[in-house]
Amino acid sequence: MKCDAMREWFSDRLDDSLDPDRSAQVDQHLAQCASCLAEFEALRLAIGRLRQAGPPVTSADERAVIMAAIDREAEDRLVASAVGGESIERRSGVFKRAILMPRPEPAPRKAIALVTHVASFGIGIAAAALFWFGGARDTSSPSDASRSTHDSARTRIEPAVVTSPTPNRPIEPPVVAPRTESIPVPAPASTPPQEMLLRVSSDLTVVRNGERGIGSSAPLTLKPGDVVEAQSAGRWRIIVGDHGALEVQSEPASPAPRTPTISRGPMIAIDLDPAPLQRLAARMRSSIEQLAGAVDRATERMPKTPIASEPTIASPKPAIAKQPAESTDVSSVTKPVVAGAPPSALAVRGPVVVRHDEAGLRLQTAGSPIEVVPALIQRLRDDDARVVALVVARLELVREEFERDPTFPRVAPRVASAPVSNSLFGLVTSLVASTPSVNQTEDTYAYWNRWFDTCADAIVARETYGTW
Amino acid sequence: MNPPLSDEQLALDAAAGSRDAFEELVQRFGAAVRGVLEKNVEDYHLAFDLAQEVWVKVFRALPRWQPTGSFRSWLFSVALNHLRDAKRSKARSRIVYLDEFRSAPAAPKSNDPRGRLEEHAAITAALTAVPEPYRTAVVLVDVNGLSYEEAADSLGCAVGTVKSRVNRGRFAFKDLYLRQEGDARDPARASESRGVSS
Repeated sequence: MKCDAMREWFSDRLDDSLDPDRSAQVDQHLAQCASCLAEFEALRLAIGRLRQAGPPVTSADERAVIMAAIDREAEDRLVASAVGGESIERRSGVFKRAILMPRPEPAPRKAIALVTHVASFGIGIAAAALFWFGGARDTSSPSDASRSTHDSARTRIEPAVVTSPTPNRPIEPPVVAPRTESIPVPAPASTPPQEMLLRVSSDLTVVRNGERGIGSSAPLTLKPGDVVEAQSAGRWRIIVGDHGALEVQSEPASPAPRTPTISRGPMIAIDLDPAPLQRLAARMRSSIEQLAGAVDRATERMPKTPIASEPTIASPKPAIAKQPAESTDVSSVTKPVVAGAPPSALAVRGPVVVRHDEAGLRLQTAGSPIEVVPALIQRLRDDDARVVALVVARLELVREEFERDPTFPRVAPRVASAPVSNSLFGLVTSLVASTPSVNQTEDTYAYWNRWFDTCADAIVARETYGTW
Repeated sequence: MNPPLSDEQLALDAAAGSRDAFEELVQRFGAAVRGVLEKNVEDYHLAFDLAQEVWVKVFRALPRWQPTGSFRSWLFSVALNHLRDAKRSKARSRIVYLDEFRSAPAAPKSNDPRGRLEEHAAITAALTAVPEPYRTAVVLVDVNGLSYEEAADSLGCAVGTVKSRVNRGRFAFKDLYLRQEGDARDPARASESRGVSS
């Protein structure tokens, strides 16, 4: 009985947490009782080894996996905060994201305009103008500003990296004309701009880095790391990243319908310097020619697949319902351009559609690889370097994704067992050669198209920043 | 060289938006959190998944964390609460993995009765066999080095309760561990004890 009582104190004795009197009492007992001494020593041995093993050490891989989950969560939370905490899955068709690219080369006295389209579902955003701040504040007169705005809107609203809306949904026309507001800025310095100005209309509530205020005629100076939110009927957010990159996020006003009714075109047109795309196109020319020949040879060996005349292949992306542009500044670039066939044949149904609209340049693809790839190749022969670059970007990223992600055959299941070399040449050849017929599901089409849009965004980011 | 920042300072920095600070916390406690979970679910992969979820929860809750107690006691309390939630959830399906990660490592060639891997496996096996709630108390105090007070915070119980659990858990561990050690030294006895006829 005494031994049992004593053993209750063994654990504390190991920890040296007993008071001196109790500790002495235990020690005295251990000196007299061989059985308890053996028990105590066994306990000391076992617990000693347990402690010696210590906590496991976090491996680099484990840390990386956890941090990747955290980064995803951080991004989700960022988005969630802008849409009121709605789940990311539901937001996927709602949220519009775009990357605004800083102009890499100086362009004297040209403003960069951001056009916000106030669409029917209620992005009640008053016009905002973004422009790079090159060091000195603008001192131009209002008349200069007006003239420059007009010129820049006509000449600078050009190619854009645009997010794709949910496919298979009708495009509803905007009911409010796009509003453009910009003011001229001095010629940017040779170094990439680190600050920029944002003008927010005075009827907007603005939260900048957590501080609430209202917009005003005086522009805000934004620095990397700043986060600006504004809210009217809708809400939008601008995040200033490193290197002057801007991320613009916006959401429709509540209680506007959310998914799946959000299906219209991009809400934000982004001025984008085509130089990176042109450089990419130039670099890829040789491989594209090689690719084109390979695809031609591969398709010659295969039964002809009806493309334009196939009535059962419906494009998952209906053509945008063209609206007469109310702004003359953007109407000059709203002419649709269709690849590979007369516009009337492929404007609604076809594997590749290239279109200039209010938002800028858009490349749509629909169909299986055997349809899309040759049509993309056809587009490469177009003289428009920007289109070439977009096409190349997509093909190149298909290859990279294929190499990186073994589940890529979700898009083209038959490729799974086909030999695929580590080249664009090999990939596209395999895609074509191993897809004997068009029997992809609509889901596959949708995936394919979403993926292409992601590629286009990513390649531009990589071209500009050298990283994804 | 500056002394390493305390867990609490890192947590405050992370709450203020420092990704590096958060990553350092993950480095310090990532495996420990996973280990606590693994001792309960007895599945490395499931514990790994749960641990990721725990860290996401920590990330979400960190801005509201108040440094009134130790960070690690709060961290383990988040982990254990999440574990309870996960166990309650019937939605979690069993996942079968194809890799051989969990296969027993080959016995090292050594004159010692146990090599390091075998020793670690023996400790893990004995610890896993300790019944709850004593096992978690021992893992927190003896494996991860929490004080009784910190463990009490993590477990949401009184310090005396933790001491009692640790005491019982230690004796249980001792019996299980030394029995394995005896089996390792005397395989014939191990077979007998398992009821296997040779």
